[in-house]
Amino acid sequence: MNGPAIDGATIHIAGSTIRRIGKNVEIPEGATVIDAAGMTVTPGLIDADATLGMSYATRGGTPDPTNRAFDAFDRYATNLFKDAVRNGVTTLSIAPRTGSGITGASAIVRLQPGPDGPWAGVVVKDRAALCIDLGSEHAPTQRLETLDRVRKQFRAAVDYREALEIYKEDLEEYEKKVKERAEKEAKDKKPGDKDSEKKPEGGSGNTQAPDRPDTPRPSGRPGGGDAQGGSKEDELKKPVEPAPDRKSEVILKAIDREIPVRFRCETSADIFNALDLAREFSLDVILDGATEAYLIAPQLAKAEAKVVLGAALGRDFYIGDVHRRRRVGGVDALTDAGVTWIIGSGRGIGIEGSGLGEPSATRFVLANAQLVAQQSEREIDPLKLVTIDAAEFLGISDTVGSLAPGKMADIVIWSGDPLDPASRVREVYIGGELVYRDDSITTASQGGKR
Amino acid sequence: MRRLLGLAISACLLAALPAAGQDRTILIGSVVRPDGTIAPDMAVVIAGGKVDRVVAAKEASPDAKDTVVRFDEHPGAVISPGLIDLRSLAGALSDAFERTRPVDPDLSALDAVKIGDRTFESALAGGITAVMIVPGETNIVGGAAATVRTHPAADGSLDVLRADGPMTFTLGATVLDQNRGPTSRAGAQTMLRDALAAAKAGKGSERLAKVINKEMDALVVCEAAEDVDAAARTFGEYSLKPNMVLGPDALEALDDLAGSKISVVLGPLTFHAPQRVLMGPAKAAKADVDLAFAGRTPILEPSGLRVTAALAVRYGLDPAAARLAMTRNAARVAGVADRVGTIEPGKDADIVVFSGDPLRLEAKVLEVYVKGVKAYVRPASESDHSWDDVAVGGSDHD
Repeated sequence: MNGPAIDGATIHIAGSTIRRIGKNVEIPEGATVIDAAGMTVTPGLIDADATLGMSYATRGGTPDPTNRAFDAFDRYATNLFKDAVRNGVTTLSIAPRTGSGITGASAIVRLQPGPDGPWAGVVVKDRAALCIDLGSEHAPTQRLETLDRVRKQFRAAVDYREALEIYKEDLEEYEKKVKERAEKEAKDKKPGDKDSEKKPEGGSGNTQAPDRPDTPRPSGRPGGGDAQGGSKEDELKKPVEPAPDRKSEVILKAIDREIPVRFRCETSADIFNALDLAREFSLDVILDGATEAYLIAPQLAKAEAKVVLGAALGRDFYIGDVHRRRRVGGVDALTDAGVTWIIGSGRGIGIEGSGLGEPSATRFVLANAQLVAQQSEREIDPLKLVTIDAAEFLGISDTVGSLAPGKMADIVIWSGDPLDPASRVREVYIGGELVYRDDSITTASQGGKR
Repeated sequence: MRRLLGLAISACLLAALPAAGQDRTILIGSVVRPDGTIAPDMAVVIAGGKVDRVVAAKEASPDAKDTVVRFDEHPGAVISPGLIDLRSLAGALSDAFERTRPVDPDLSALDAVKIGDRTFESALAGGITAVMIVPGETNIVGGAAATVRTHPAADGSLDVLRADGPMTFTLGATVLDQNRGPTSRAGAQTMLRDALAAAKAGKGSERLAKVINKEMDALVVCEAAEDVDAAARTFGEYSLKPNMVLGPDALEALDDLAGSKISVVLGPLTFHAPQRVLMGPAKAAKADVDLAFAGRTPILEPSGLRVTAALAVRYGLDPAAARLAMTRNAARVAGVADRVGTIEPGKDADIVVFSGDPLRLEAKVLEVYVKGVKAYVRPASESDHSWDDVAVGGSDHD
């Protein structure tokens, strides 16, 4: 998918990865030869916004930044996985589905059969992004409440970091003073009384300050260390370390741009809210769903926001009884403005009837990409959208997304052009292992019809 | 879009003027044959709003007055009959479901259709040139369906292909109603029997009598397999074999319908449909009934009809059968197959040009012709990204 299609190529798989690919690949002795003559071989497809495996039982609950999508991944949703694989899908990006607010961290999973279950996912990237659901489907007041809650959580994280920094400074200062005093005392007691050297009790800083658990969370400079500190020896107090705040720690990863933030938002109002938050905390921002993204494409470009579309933009849809009419070419507005976008199977508002946003929609992520291509004035290659484009977007293109040496051997063999609905998947390999085969489809060299 | 429509209307007026001789339009590309397969390198000659002939491209022999349309930028362009969506609510989104009388044979869906409704434009842009509006799916006897074109007639009025039928019936939970009754399946069945018996005796609705006398066709919406059984029994008493719309839970009954020579309407299929439902159309084809699709525009987007066909093919339906289910067979169910549904000499030139096989979802609608007049052209690429909101309730009368 990186380059043009190759006719009559050979792919050499060694273990779980692709070793070589091309026209003149030598077949080593003793190799198992998979015959796919007359067929089309593609990389496994990627759903960049999947609900597959996030079963209904794992939805709901409390939105919490420390949630991890993979904890909720139902590896026994066998039928759904099978249906995805027989439609060529092998990699998913999953997000926690716990209502609106900061819902937790997404994960990227390859559908590899594993030792503990038929479809144990293999994590390509855990904590791939921090997910925030702005709850576009809710009433405006509820959405504002959500936004407010999210902003407060981010501010709390910033405060937490500040408190930590202050604590660190104070601790340094405290330790310095303890040391100074010790030296001073040592000087005072020149003769070298052994006992007195140990005097600053509970001194050096790695004990967890078990004293004073009732000290309030640091707001200013807690625990002594003020300007005139050390004037009275007895008042030298060890600063109190702020209680560890795991929620804030996760949020700080996003603030430090170690991971991007994926905002699930649909309406332009919510998208603007997401951009505001992103600006306030200088976040690396990805918009999920983003039905109305094309209306504000220049603003998205300016904010360097990227988009994982759920539905083809530029289609008609309804909000309540308001019929919002779209011109064709919605995705082109994004492209024209220079916004990076790809497609997943995620929800789009007002198009519930299409089944997008449901676990079962993952199997049709390629069809969804085809619908996007239909809406565009440009020649968009739908297959590229759900393979290498998605892999690069998600930052996993060193592992999957194309048939190239060194990448995982996640390979789909189709009876014909994957974009033609009459084509069937004959075989699927994940990590070089055969996970699906339809024997009713015969290869050219078996003398069957394509 | 409004401007485009204006242009299209003025084009209509021009075409309606007594043109010298007969100006012909010749479309060159692959053509969907009346059997649903695709023939490459063909020419469709349109004259006087009708298909004049379909010949090999090199035999088209256009003269100077003819407009020849080639789709050079899209070498795979496919000229297809206009798509027909059965069970649409275009133009009648909130107005077609009457809930006062469970037996309402004299209701006409046409009365609910708003002229110039925006949902028609969207359907047209999606390649749907005609929609059948099924009334009162909340009633046992729902009234007469209507089939209209999505493009207005030359004088700007609604272009009605058929105003009076088929008569639609519904069996299933949607007709149950605690307030007005029936409150049970058995009760619903009794009401249906009574209505048919009264019509037979000449005491009921004239329209229902027409159905009994086979002067009017019937379409029965069946939610579940047992509804199919019930319909077969009740209508069988009058030796009627109505066409049927089968809901997802009624697919098991397909085996019983094998060889019954009726038309069966399935769909829409969505990304969410379970495998069993996705395989329904292939199962119908095996049962040798005439298969047609419903896309449910505008509740689903206009592309929903093609999504239905594409998913049906991915789950085993023959591609030609899928194309017929959106065109010829749909026209048969609507009772308008004498004029539309295929590209054959003498048929109205309701034609869509796709950039490829309409079953491939990335194929774009390039042009739409209605009665030989260009009704839609894909907007040029210097994209106008503006948009507008339109209320769909009763307030939208512009």
